[in-house]
Amino acid sequence: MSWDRPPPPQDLLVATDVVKEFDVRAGVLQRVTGHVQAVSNINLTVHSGETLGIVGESGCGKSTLGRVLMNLLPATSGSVRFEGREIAGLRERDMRPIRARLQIVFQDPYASLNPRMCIGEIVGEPFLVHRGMNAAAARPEIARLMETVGLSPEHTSRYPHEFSGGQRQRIGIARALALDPSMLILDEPVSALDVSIQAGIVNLLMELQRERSLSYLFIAHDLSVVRHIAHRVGVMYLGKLVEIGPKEQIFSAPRHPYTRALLSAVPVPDPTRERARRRIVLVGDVPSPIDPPSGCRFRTRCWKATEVCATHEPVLVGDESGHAFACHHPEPA
Amino acid sequence: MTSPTNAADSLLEVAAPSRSLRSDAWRRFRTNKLAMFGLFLVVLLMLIGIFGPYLVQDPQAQERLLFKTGPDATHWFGTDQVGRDVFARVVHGIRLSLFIGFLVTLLETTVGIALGAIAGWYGGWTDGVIMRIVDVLLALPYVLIAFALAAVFGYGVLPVVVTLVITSWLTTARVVRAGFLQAKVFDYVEAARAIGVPTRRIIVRHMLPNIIQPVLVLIAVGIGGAVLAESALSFLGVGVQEPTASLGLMIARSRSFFADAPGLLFFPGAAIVITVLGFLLIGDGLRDALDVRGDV
Amino acid sequence: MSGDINKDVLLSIEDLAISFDTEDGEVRAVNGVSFEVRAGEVFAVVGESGSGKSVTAMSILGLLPAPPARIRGGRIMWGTENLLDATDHRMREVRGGEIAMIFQDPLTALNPVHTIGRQIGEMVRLHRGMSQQAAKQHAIEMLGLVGIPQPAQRVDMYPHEFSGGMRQRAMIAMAIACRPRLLIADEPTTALDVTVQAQVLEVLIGIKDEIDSAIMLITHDLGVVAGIADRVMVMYAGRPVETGTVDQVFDRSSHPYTIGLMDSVPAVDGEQGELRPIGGQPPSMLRLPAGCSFHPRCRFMHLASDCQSVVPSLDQVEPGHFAACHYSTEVSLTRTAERA
Repeated sequence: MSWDRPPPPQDLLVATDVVKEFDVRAGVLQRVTGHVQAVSNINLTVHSGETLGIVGESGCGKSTLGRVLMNLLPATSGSVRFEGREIAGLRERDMRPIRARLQIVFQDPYASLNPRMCIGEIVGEPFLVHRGMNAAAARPEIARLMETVGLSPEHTSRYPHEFSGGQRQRIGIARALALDPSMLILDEPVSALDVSIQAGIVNLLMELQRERSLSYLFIAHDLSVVRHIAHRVGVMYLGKLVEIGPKEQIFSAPRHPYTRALLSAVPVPDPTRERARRRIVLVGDVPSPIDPPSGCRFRTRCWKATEVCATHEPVLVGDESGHAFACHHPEPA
Repeated sequence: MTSPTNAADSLLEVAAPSRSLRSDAWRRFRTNKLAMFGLFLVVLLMLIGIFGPYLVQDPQAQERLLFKTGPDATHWFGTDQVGRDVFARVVHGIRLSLFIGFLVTLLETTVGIALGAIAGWYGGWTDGVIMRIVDVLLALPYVLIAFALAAVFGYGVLPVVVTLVITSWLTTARVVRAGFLQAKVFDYVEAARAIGVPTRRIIVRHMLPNIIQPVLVLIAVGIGGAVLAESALSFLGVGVQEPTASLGLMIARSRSFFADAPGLLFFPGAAIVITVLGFLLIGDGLRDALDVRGDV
Repeated sequence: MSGDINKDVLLSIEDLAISFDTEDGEVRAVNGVSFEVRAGEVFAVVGESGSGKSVTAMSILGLLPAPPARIRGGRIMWGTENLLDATDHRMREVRGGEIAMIFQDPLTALNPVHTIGRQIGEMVRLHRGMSQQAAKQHAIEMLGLVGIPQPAQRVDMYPHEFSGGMRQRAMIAMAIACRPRLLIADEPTTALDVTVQAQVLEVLIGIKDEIDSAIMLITHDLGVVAGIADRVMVMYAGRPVETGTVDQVFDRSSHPYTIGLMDSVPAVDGEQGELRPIGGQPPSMLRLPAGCSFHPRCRFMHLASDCQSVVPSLDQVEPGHFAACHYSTEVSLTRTAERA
């Protein structure tokens, strides 16, 4: 089932000029020698009830972005407004009530569950922390959550290692849903799963979105999955958002050369269609984020790069349909 | 609400029975013959240490004219140079060694976990200060510390216990700190923060249980090490003094009589060796049993 | 397995069965695998975790640790010799010299304390008896073949100075240094970014023609298979369930598992439609289901009694195309109807 109609816009999460820098340390005394801008001036909006997919390759900063938007990592600068409230830079005490509304699902189903806690305790912890309910009091809620994600409530006394990867990921989703959030950040939620299991999780997520009007920030490197689940898609490269817009436009008519190359590099599981595709193969490797190229960061691998690309950093410019891209020589529409 | 495929997902493998990590580890330990032998030794020694002193002769009683006799019916290990029953003294010595071993390990583990956790969790400056203290103390030989303390407080159990606590918490702290540094970035710790779990609960419920495994090994090995160290200090004269029965002291006193009464060296020596061996074997067994990947 | 008898058969696996003896019991990782790899082709082995595809590949070069692994039966025919009977000396000749392997993670496959040039050169010094100078020249040539820029400088660099994609190419260079007839690639691009993956796959195809070798590609990525493979074998629970040319297996899938895979994978060009996951869990390799290993999860014919008791053999669906299913004809007809 693909998404055709964009849901009514209501700005649930608004990120403005978000920057996240990390210190680079070297030497015996671990002195700070420089900074890496993992996330560089990101502006985006997630609307109520929609899925915004964020794609990019390793080092592009998408995972860091997810954590910064949730205030798991403090932003170096910029603003993040969730449900109308500014949350960037909030102290943990003030952030706590907001955490019930904005939750996260992690990539690794094997590492995201405490191996020494039984499932009931894991899924029940949000109730304990936010509503002071112990295991017995929360039991009906926990049972309901387990069923929602397709697991049997009888298994709440079991431990994570007794479950398969797909089942653990469902447990992680149940935990995230415990306090009825309005938005989930999903950081590569299916990448670590077998292909045939991924589909089950994707379908579950889409079903939950329909039923609860959830919004998702879906971070992934797998473009095929993103095409399936997202309404809008943003493409990141070396910490910058290079293109963002409605899914169909991004996938059928990408304007940024990197997006075009990325799409053409993803193989399609059908020999006939695959043979008919023209592939753009990029030259060279991704530059180091510590010392990104001047001007447009993609220019070192771009077949269209000219002098202006080295001297002037392109700005994200959009049209009325909400499709924006940052390039001096965009692809034809 | 759930589709049929989801219901099928909910069926767990009936093949694998529900097994917690703890019972897995115990099973592995049980099948390790050396580890079980070590456990047997330690249990035996503890029984001796707890109940033995009530059942043996008075370790201080000196039988006149029965000096340095060999083992016989009344004195199973013979008598020492002033006529005391060696067997009784060894039994009392075992109790003393175990007592000091457990006491030292209890204290140093508490201090080590506390400081290691603080250093690992807060990092930065706190971590730096604590770790430099550890580095400095590690460089000092414990014998010197013992003698220095003895000069201030006098000889006896106190300087021994204090010395050993000061020198043993260092390793524990390092291990716990390393565990914290690793665990801090685990996804499930991040998940707990994402839910809004308060710091104290994160440390106690999420991190410590997963860090505790190497600490358990350290505890087992530590008791053995403390026994050995106490014996060494007593041998050097810093520890308990005559007429209290201490294994190390007995060895020290027996050196000049080795030729005609080797038992005076052998029996307390063997007791020390067996005690330390027992704990080391348990420690090794624990390490192997706990070194688990939760998954294939 | 008969097939296209025009091409030479390089490698022929016959009824291979491998088990692992573990604490929990016997894990039957491979249960009767037979296939051929022919000269000059790209043969893909597709499966998810637990399918036995990597174990099969590692057993060809004798890389499985011998306990706990145990070869229960079968033959690995390289030309006329059975590699399972080969001496250690002969296997050392084969490895690198006639059959080479590249792995998923180049970081662990390359020795960090030796330069790339030295590691590549080692191959030809050992197998061809080249001198140090000649070996270095050869290494530079190989680096050029795999598309590494400035090979004369890079030959003296260490693995950690290369990026991920370059390291993978360096590993390919090392593998082809002695012009092996067969290159086994175990998930060579799984850990790479998709744009780098495209580069590496291009290198592999180019290399294959350049040095006239065949490639046996182990992967779980159906897109990669569709892109570069000539023939493919789908594995499930240690057995092959479907084999044939790529067009045959993708367009006319005749096994419920293959169909399940095709239906559950989204496509980047949006031509997929609804995702249909395969119900249930992958089987425990300690206790495989009786009969067809897939029957508990099969949505087509799972009520049929022979599915639950008789292990299906690979039967011909059309020339060169085989499926291990008692009802492959019905299954593929149902599928065609569904897609119409």
